[in-house]
Amino acid sequence: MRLLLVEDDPSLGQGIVDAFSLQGETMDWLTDGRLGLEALRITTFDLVVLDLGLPGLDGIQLLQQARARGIDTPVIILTARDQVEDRIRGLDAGADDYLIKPFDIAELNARIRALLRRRSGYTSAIISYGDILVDPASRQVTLNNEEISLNRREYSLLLEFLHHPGQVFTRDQLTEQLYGWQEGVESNTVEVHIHHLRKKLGSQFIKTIRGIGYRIEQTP
Amino acid sequence: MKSIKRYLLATLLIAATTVAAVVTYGSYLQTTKEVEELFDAELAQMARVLQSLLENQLKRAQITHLQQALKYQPFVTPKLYTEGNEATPFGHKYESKLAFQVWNQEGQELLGSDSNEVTLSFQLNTGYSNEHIGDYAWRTFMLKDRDLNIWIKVAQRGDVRDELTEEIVISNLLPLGMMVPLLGFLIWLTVSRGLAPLHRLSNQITRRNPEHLKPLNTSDSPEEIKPVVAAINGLMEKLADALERERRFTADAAHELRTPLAGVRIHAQNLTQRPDPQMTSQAAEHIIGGVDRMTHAVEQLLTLSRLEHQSDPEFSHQDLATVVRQETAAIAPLALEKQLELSLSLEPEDSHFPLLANLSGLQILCRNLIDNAIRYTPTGGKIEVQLRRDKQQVMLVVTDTGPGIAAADRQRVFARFQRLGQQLIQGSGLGLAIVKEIASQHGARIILDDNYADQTGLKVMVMFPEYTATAPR
Repeated sequence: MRLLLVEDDPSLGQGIVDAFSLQGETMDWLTDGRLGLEALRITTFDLVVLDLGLPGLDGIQLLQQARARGIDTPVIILTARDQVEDRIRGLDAGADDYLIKPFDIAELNARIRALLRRRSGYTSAIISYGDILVDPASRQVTLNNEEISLNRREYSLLLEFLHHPGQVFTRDQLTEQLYGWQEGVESNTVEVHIHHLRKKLGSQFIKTIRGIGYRIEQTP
Repeated sequence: MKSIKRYLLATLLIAATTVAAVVTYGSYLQTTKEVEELFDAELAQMARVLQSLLENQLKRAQITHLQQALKYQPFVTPKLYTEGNEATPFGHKYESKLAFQVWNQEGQELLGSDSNEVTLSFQLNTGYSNEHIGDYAWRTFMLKDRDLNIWIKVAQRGDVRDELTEEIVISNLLPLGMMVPLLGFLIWLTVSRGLAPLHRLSNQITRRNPEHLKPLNTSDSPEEIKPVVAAINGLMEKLADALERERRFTADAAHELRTPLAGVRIHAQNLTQRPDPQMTSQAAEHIIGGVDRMTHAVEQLLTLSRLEHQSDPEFSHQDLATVVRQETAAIAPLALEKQLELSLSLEPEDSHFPLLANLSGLQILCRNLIDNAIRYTPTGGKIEVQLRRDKQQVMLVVTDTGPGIAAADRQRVFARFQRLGQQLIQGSGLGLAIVKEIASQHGARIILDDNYADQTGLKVMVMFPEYTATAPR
């Protein structure tokens, strides 16, 4: 799962990035609206957490321009403005949800999960794929009702596949999803994680498309 | 005047009725006069007709014959008369109200109309006179025939005349009476139509509220209402501006307080997640920094609020040099921490800079200017505070080597919560707004300029009017 945070306040931004890193999620962070729009254009994110008062390009403008360019990445707005018309303005500009500062990190998490769930067409909070059940709220994964223990990278990778069944991911895409713009990632780390996932969830679970990448079947 | 419509309706109706009454009274007087003249002439004529008749008769016949002949039976069958049809083929209703009598020189009655047995008085003067006979007033005319030596008196009952006058006046009054309701209706209609634009205006105003303060439409307003509409529009524009400013201020204040709060909360929450030791100490630092930032924002907000609501700050004789020295000393540790070179210079040295000022205001102004300079000047920079005198003005100059402010932005920075998009430099965005407020309380001017002496930087000049013993504030 790849998240982008556009927040100009250094302290709040660092806090959110730290919180997600503690959960094992990668979050890219930008402090300028114009750079945020640029990043959305060239990189595919699963979700954007967007502050409204940004230098360079206001959050609302960023959102409008992104939507105008057909970028439909789910967006959660962070705002200090609690007036109804401000919220309406944000939602009208193309936001999917909003949170008023200050907020609970668990609530931000829950909203992100809900948006991703809606995006991938799951109506229930529990994701099921064949014998595999994933509860994103508790990060619990079971295979045939037996709990499977995954580390946070493996979990992220599994969720990425489950959110897009049938889609083929290249190794570079998966690396970026897992590590963001972080540097110095070993070139074969994705293979290692996939190897572990196959060992834990069955060897036929993730298919290799030779020379291209990996996928799971559209239907189990 | 509670209602223009009722007022116009009442006054116009009263005016119209008064005019009608005056006209009616005038026509009554005129009618009375004309009727009198007409009847008087008729009386005289009757007397002469009688005279000429008697002249002939008295020469040829006995007076007794004449008396006999004249004993006519007045026509009294009242049932025949109907209103408006007093003249019948048999006579007139008013016949009995006419009388005549003829006397000889000695006052002996020779002839008389017998109707109603009216006895006219015999006086030896000719012409018109008014008499009271029985219950009625009579108008009489006495004529003397010198050849026959007889007196002829013709009389008419006064109420005939009054009745006629009355009837003429009443017949004039009737259309006037009908005119009043018609006039009332027309006035009501006109006034209603005339006041319709007022109704439309009030409907337009009713639809306005603080969220919807669009100017009123003036295109269909009559000339008399246009200035009112223009005044209301002007007021609404000012109101909308003020509301918008307040809204923006609230939103900005919310942002200024909620963002560090959100930061503090999230770092505190991270601390509960057992992070590594490095992250723990960083989170604690962020929490302290966030609280400091909020404290600063709250202090600045309170200062600004106090300044704006201070109706009459206390002014006293102050030496700007003393205040600036104290404030510079107090803030110096901050500058040293950032490794900035902070200096204070007076021109001429060791002199006093007398001002009539509010002490705490002056302190806040100095502190904010130097504090701003420290915030925006990068490590290793230089801040100069200078005091000098220039043409009855005391000048406080703070120069830094920070990024400076572009000429185009120099007006904007005095607005509340303006921060020129440099979020990485922590500040409330209220400093210059506070400085401006205090300066205006002291009648001082603020000029922003480039720091020409160095590569980059801002020069803030505050010019206070100098205090002299004779000069009034």
